[in-house]
Amino acid sequence: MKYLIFILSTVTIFGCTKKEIGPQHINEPLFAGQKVLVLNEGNFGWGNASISAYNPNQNRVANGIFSSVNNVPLGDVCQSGIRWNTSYLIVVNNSNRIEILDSTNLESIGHIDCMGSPRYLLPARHERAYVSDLYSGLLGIVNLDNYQLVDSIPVPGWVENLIYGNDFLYATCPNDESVICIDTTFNAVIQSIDVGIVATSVVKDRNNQLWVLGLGSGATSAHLLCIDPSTNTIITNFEFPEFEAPTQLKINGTGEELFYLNNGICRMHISDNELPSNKLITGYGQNNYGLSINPLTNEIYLTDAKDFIQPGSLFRFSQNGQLIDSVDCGIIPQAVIF
Amino acid sequence: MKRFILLVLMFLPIVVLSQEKSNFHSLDTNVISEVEISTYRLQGYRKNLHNTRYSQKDLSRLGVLSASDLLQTLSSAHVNSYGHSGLASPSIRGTGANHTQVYWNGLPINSITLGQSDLTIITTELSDNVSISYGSDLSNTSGALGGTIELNQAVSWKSSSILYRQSIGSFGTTGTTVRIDESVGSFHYSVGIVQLSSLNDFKYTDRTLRIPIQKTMENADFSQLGLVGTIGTKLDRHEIKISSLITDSERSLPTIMGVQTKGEKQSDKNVFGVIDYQFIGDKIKNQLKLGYVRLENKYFNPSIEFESLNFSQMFTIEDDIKVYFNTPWSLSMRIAGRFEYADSPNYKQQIKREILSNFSKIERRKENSYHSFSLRTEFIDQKGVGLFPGVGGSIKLIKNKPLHLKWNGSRNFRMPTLNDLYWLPGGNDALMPETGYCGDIGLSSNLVSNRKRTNSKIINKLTFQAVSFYSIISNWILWTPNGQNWSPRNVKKVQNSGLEFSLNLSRTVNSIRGSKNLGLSLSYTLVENTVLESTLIGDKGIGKSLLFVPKHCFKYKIDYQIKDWIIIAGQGLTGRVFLDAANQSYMPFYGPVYFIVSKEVKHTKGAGLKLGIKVNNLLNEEYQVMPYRPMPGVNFKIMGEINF
Repeated sequence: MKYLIFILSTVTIFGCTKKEIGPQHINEPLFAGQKVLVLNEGNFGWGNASISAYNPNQNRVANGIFSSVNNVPLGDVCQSGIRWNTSYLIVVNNSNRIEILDSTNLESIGHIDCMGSPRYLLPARHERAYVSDLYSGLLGIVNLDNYQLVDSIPVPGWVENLIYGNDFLYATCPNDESVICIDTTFNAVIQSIDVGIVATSVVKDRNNQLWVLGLGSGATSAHLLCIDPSTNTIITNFEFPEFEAPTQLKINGTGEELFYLNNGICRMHISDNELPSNKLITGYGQNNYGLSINPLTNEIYLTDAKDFIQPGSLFRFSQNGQLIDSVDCGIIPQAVIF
Repeated sequence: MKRFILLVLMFLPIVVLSQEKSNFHSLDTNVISEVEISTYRLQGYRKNLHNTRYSQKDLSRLGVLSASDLLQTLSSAHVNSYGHSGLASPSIRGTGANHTQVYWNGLPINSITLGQSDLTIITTELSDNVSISYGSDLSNTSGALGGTIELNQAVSWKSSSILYRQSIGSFGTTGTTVRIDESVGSFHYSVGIVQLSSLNDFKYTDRTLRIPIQKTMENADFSQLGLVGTIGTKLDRHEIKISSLITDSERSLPTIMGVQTKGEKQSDKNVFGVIDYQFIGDKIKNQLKLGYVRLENKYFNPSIEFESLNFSQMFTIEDDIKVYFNTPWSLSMRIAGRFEYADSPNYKQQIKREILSNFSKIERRKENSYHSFSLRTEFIDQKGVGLFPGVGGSIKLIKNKPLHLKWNGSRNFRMPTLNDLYWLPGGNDALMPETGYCGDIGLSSNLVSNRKRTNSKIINKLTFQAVSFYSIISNWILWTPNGQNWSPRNVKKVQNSGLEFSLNLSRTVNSIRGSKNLGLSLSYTLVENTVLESTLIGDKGIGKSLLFVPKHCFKYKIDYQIKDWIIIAGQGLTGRVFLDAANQSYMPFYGPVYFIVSKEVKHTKGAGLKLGIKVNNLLNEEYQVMPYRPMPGVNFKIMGEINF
């Protein structure tokens, strides 16, 4: 009997200490005042997506602010986000959810359950928004009044970026090597424009022309295309040299200058007749991952995901490519919301 | 194939030579036991390392069913487990999962495409013994910079038995094992079958929600069917053994908390086969081995209708010869050829790789000391990788007292896996092997004392090992982003240093009223894992620990046996592990407790019945090993065994 008591008391002594449960991350308190949000994807399957708040005037950053405000993790793979009225809409890809945050204090005020693997979101009229998806083969329509998924449109597989042009919705379809045109009145795909590249990014310039960037498929190289939405035809087509892999096409606030990542940051005027031969910015970061342009200041924001397992960095440059400052963010910083 | 035949022919003279020399004078005491042979000889190469060996009886007493269970319950190693029955990978002495080599009857069974083994699907139920060695080992294959796990089938010449073992547990967990061993004269056969399954629908608290709620684990079921067969025969000093193991494992892959299940499934169909010819002479021993390993892994994701099938095959032929001289000296030599084939939708074509190796070891063994020097050479696709020397030794510190000082040191390497080299996209065929220098020094002792009292006899036993280790591994391979793809690169230089301490105490009292035994086992491992260099500019990981390497691991087990009753309680405490290279986020420590009560009833004719109950996570600790992958709370397993 005494041995039994000895065994049980030993077990109890060692077993009765507790403690923290689950992963423990640095969650810093949110500061007041002006801020841009840096969305950190986190590692797929680790549930460590996070949001950093950055004040560009004070070179101040607070990491893990979603968790510090809401006391729950953000989820798995924070893909993109937008500011909409007094809210932030944050797309959390592998959690299949769009978080709605109050833009003043970042408190979660609701969420939208999506169709599997949401990527990007674009608000439309009548409090509706469209949500692209990686796997479902559907373009989701959500009601932003009650945060419900209300309808969907069949699309050719993976749909990535979304943009309006000429009163129609355009979406890049990487696997289908096309850009589709959707009539938002009838919520139907009315035309598919064959672009012959793995089209991912799309932006609209000041002339309402659509610029599409995509990697090559098979033996083809990457291309930058310009589509006229009034005719849905390709009017300009720039081919990148073999083995180049440009990504993250963005446009400045005036809709005149295109920016993209290609072993550095490249800048090109929409009236240029050829791709830029020189890079605007090089030598910053180990693994350039995300690119954003502040539409008001035209400042350039570059994120560095490093080796994907350590906190990344955010670099801020003037529109002419001069480094203004840099800060540390969360794991795999990508998108920036201004 | 031509090379294979050539190698067979090349080895034949060695076999013939070994037979011719069998009439040497006997000096060697290491002759085959009447009861058991097939002590797989290569084990002898690792005797000087810190190693522990567990018999099937040890494992069944603890309700251990897989290599994952074993390492988590008893060893000084750490296991990264993705949940109950989920993927489990080992980390020994701070190294990665692919620095631990797993062998089945001497055959390396780590995936040649991934470089590691999933310990959950390596069943220990059909093995007679399992050994774990800590530290660099060059004797069988390269790559064991952390340690080795070895599962073996034994052949018993003079015993016949039938075993039926059944367990039923929480979450729809069942296990059935049937094994028949039969020996007739110099012929032995054994067959065994194991069936394990679990629904794994345990409850957990979802802490990704603002108000945590209890949920039921989804898509986590597991099933495994294993079949083993061994036949062996002996004639005088010659033995031959043929063993085969087939396992078919199916499991569903749950998502992390807060993420809807995608219904992902994985199946692993593995076939291992080995033919061992063994000759044991007075001054010479020889073992010729032919082996085959086939691994098939299928992944299916119904949510996106994606299926991926990867398979690999390996043929091996090796000869291991040991010659004893008339002095304390002996010489061992092992020549091996390994032929690997792998196919995957992510390879441009079927991949072939050929590895030829030689391992030589000279030993000087005296009553109070032992010294060895070894050298490994390896050729991969006919290109030399280098020379890899090793030294080892031990001395008895106090005359007539079993207190030994042991040391080992070696240069080792790990070649890139086939996925590292050829995976599309990202594979990097310019990768260099990882190379490492590893060493350890430690004390070990095994003390036994007997005392007689009027009506009883008391036996006290104490064994301990305290080992300090150090390793430095260069060209550490990591998959890192490279433009649009991830690609493996030689990125880091990593240092591991630390201490392993294990202590076993037992006190047995035999009296006319019966016997009593109280035992205590402790193991503590301290690992200082540090990244010294990195090719990544501004790497915040320099000077920090790698991910998922605990600094502290402490395990203990107390067992008390009185007459036919056995009570065992134990706990494995694992310290925090970091989740990012800058060591800012971490998983907290955890330490589930287990408790076992069993009773054995022995029949006079040798038949026995054993019944027991095991309580896992006795204190219902809520914990996770990997982020947001819950582990089950308190759960039960009823175990029964009939042996006759």
